Amino acid sequence: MTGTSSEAPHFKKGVAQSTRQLAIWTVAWLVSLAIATFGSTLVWDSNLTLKLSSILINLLIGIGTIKANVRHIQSLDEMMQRVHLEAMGMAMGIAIVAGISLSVLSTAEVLPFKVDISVIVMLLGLVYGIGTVVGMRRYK
Amino acid sequence: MNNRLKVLRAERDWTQAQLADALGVSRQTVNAIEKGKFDPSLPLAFKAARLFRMPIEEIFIDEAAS
Repeated sequence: MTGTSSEAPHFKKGVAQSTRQLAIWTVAWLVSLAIATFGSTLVWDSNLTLKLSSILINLLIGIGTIKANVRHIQSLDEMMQRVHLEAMGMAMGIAIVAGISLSVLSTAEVLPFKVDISVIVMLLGLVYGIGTVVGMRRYK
Repeated sequence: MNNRLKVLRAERDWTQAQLADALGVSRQTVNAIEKGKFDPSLPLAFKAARLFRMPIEEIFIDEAAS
């Protein structure tokens, strides 16, 4: 096969590389988050410098993770980008609407439990995952 | 938008994966385009036209115009 076949390795290699980099950044961010969270309470409880340093490192790695995610999305082809865009739109919308509703319910003291940010993060991740799977099935 | 991608690919005895490689997209995207579930962007349509050495309007057919 002739023509533009030389683009093939570039596309596949680009997606594989960006996926690998995103995975590395995400793991690094999770590790730094665990260090910042548990280190601050269990290891360096009274050391403010270490507390702030671990949080700053987590923040910097977080910025790297965001950049890696953007690069990953850019490496995908146009249909995959659309699937992710629609999933992100759904996740963001639900996170905002559900987050505000939960916040209002919490403020009004209707809920028997305290609403934590982790609930919204989990909901966001869940909706994004489902949205991606549904999107892929729609174009199948 | 209809297209003749599947026919043109079959005439050349190419697989979806080979066509996807040539266009620099995923096999799933080629499949979705062939089934009419996804309309390609203009740059991708032109790339397909260059690959098949055909005018773009002979590959992609606007349903509204027909």
